[in-house]
Amino acid sequence: MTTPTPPDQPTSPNDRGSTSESADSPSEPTGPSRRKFLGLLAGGAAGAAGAGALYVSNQDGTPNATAPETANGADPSTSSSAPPDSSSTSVSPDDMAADQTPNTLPASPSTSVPLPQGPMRTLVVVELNGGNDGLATLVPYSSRQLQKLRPTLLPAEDDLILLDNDFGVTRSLEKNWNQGLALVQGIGIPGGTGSHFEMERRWWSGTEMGATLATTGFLGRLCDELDQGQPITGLTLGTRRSPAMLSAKPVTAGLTNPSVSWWVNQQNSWFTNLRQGIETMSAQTGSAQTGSRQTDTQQSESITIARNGLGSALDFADVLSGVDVSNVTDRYPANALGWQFAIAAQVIAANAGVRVIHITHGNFDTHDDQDGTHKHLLRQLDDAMSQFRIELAESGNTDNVLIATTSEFGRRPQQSGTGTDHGAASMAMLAGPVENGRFGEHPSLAKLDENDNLVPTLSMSEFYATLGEGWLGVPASSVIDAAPPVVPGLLKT
Amino acid sequence: MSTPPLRRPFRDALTRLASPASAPTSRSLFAAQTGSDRTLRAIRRLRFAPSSQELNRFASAPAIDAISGLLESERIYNPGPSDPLMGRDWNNESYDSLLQWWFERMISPDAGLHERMVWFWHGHLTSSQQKATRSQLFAQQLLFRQHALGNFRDLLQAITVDAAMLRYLDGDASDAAMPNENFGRELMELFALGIGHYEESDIRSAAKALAGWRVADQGVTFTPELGFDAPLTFLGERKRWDAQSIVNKVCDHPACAPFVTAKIHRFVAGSTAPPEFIEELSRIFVDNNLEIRPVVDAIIWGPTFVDAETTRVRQPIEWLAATSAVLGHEASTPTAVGPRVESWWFDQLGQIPFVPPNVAGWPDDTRWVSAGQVLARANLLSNFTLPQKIIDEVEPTVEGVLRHCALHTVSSATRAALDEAAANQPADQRRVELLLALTVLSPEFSLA
Repeated sequence: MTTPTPPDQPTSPNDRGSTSESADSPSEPTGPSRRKFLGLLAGGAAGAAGAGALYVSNQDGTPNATAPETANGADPSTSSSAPPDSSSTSVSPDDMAADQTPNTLPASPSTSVPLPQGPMRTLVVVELNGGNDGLATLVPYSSRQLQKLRPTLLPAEDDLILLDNDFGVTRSLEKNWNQGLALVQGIGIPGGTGSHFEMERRWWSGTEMGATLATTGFLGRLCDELDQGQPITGLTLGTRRSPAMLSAKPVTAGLTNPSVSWWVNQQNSWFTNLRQGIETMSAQTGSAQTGSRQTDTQQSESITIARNGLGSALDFADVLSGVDVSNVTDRYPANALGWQFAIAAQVIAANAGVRVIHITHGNFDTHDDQDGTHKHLLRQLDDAMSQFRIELAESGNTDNVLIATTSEFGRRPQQSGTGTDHGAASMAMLAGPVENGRFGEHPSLAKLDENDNLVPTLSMSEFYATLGEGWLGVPASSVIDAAPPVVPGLLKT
Repeated sequence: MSTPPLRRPFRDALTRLASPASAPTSRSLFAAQTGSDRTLRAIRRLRFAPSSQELNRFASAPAIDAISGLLESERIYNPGPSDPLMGRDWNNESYDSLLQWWFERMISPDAGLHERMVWFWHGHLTSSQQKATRSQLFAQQLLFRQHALGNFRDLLQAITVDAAMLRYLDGDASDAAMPNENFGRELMELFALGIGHYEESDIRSAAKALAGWRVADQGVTFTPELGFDAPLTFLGERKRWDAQSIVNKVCDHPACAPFVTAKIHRFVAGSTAPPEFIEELSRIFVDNNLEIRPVVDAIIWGPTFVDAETTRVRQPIEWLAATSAVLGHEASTPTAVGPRVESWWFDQLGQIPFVPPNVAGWPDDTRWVSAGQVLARANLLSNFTLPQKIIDEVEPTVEGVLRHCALHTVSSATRAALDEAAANQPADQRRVELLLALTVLSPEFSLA
C-alpha cells in the first residue's frame, strides 16, 4: 500500500506488470539452511519494476500502475522449469543434499538410471503454440509432392540454408543454425486429432492417444523427480502457468515477471517491516490466540500450506533477486519471448535450483498468411534464443542447458488459401549439446494419413524420454506411461 | 429469490455449531463483542466482498440468523431484455470493460450467494475469450445468471447450444461426417458425470448426435443436413439422438447427481464432502428434479459449511474482491461504483475471468496460497493508495485493524507478526497500511 513506488517503472519489453501464477505451494518448512543457501546465491540487485496500483488513482491523480498487455487469451499457457546447476558456485552438492527437505510423497522409482554426473543440467522447453509447420521450418524443397501440394507456399531456395539435395532449413533460424541446431523430424502423437485442445492436453500431460490423460504435466512430473528441496524446481514463464508444469509436489511455480518480487529486498523500513511480518507470519509454531477455539493441532492443512506459502514467497523472491530485467531490451527483442528468455538466462545463471523452464511462443496457427506470419515468428524465436545462448555461454552454462521446442501438431501439407490447416506430424528443434543437422526420418509426403496429414515417425513419448531420461536422468518409466526408449544419437552425451 | 424453509436436521446441526465450544479466553478481545467466527466464515463464503460493518453486525448474531438474513437480503442481478445493459455491444468495448462490469457486480454490497454461483458456473461450464467473442461471453454470463440457482438440466441444455460454448469446444465446426468430440467428451468428463462412467464409444456417439449446430451473427442455429440422422448407441441405449436427448440422458445418469453435487460442495464449503453427505445431497438433487438451490441450501445448512477445521482457499478473484472491501473499494474514483478494473491485475494473480486455463476451469486447491501468489498479491498491495475514509476510520493498532477486517480469531504467528509490525512502524497512516497489508496476506484472510 502506498509508498515507495518502485524505483523505475518496468521498461521491459512486454511491460507485463509482473506476476505469477504459481502453481503450487511450497513444500514443507525449509528452515534456515535453505534460506542461507539462497542467500549465498542471490546476487545482484532486485529487479526494478513496479507493477501497478490496485486502484488507479494516486495521490496526485496520476496512474502509477504500469498496465501490461491485457489478456487476450491468445496463448493457452506456459510453464516450464529448469534444473539448476549445483556445481558452479561455492555451494557444493553435499551442502545441497544436506538441505533437502523430507519428501512427504511416495517416492517414485529412480534407481534404474543413475543421474548424469557432473554439473546439474537444465531443460528449457519452448512451446510453439498453435501448431508449428514443420514443412516450412525444415523444408523438403526438392520434393515434387510438396511442390504440388504447396504451389504458392514453397520458399525460394534463397530463403533456405541448404543441408543437402533434398532439405533446407529456413533462414529465419539462421543465427541458431550457426550456433548449432538439431532438427528432429516427424514428431507427433500417433493417431492424434486435429483439436488444439486435445493435442495440447496430450503434449502437456505427456499422454499418448488412447490413454487416460495424466492429471499432472510431463514437466511437472520431471520436477517431482528432480526435487532436491530447492524452493522452485520448475518455473513457468509467460502469461499463464502451463498445465505441462503441474506437479504432484509443490515444486513448480509460475511467473510472468520477476518484478513482482521487487519489494522484498527494498531498503525502506516499510518494506522491511512487511517482509519481516511475512516471515513471522510464516512460523508454524503458533497456537491460536485471540479468543481462539482452535488450537494448532486442529488447524487445517490449508492453513499450514498458506503459512508455507508465505515463507516460500520470500525464498522464491531470493531466487529472483539475482534477476535484473531493467535493461533486457538492450539485448533481447522487445517482445514477450525476449522477456521470457532474458529471465530464463538469469535464473539459470543464478544457479538457485531451477531445473526445468517452460517458455511459450506463438501463435503458430497459420490458417492464413502463413508465409509472413511463420517467418516472423521464427525470426523472433531466432533473435531471442540466440541471445539466450550467448548469455548461457557467458555464464558458463552452454553444456548444461538443453533447449527443446514442442508444438501440439504440424500443418496439413496441402495449402489452403494462403495458409494451412491443422496437421499431424511436425518437427522439433534441439539446441545445446547436440549435433547440427537433421535427425530421424522425415515423414512421407507420398503416404499421408486418412486426413491427408503427415504420419509421425517419432512419437512424443520417445521425444520426451530423450529429454527426461537422456538429458535429465529421470527414468522414462517414472514419468511416461509407455516408458519408451531414449532416441539414440540425438544428444551428445 | 426466496429462501426455502430450512430442513430441520440441518438447522439443528447449525444451532449446535453456532454455540461456542469453550468460553472465551482473556485474550479474546473481540470475540465477546462480536460473537462467533463461524458466523463470519459463513458470511465470507456467501459474499464476495462483505463490508466490515456488515461482518461485525452479523457477527454478534447467531450464525443461523446471520445466514438467513444474508440469503434473504441479497439482490439477484439478472438483467432482463429491457435492461439498458443489453444494448451494449461488447465486441466494440475493451476486455477491461467486460471485466469491470462483472467485478462491480461481485463487489456490490448486496451481491450474495447468487453472484458466487455465477462465478462457480463460469468455472465449471467454462468458455474462453480465446475462442469466443466478448459478446458471446456476455450472453453466456446472462445464461449463468438466469440458471445459477435454478435447474441444472435447463442450464446444461442451454449451455450445450450456447454460442460461446459452441465456439469454445468446437461444436460450431462439427458435422456428422467429421464430428468433433471436444464437447461430447467434456460434457461427460468434466461437466456432468466424471471419468469412468462412459466409454470412448459414447463420446463418439455424442459427437455425432451433437453435430450440426452453427454460430451465426443472428444466433445459434441447427442445420439438419450437418447432423446425424440414424440410430446410435449412447450410454447403453440405442435410438435416434439429438442434443436435447443426449443432455437428458446424461442428466438422468446415476453418476450425474453425485458428481455435480460434489463439485458444488467443494466450491461452497471448500472441502471434499464425506460420501454419506454426497449421498444425501444427491438424493435432494434428484428429488427436486435437479434444482440447484435446494442442494446449495442443504450444503449451507449442513454439517460441513462452517466446520472450524475446514478452511476454504480464496481464489484470486475472491481474494481481490474481499480485499477491495477491506481497503475501501469506493476509493479510487470520485463517482464510483468501484475501482477501475484492469485485466493485468488478474493476469498477475493468475486468474483472468473469461480466460480459464483450460476447459476444467480454475483449480480450487491450495496453489492460490503459494509463493508466487503471495508475491503477486503483495505487489498489488504495495501500490495501493489507501482512501482517506479508511485512514480516518481505522485505529492504527493491531486491534483496530483486526476489528476493521472482522478477523476475530487469528493464530499466534499472525498475531505476533502484527504486534511486531505495530511496534516497528510509527503510529501513522503508514502503520495502518502495513497492518492492513499483512492482514490481507495472512493465512486467516487468504482462507475463508
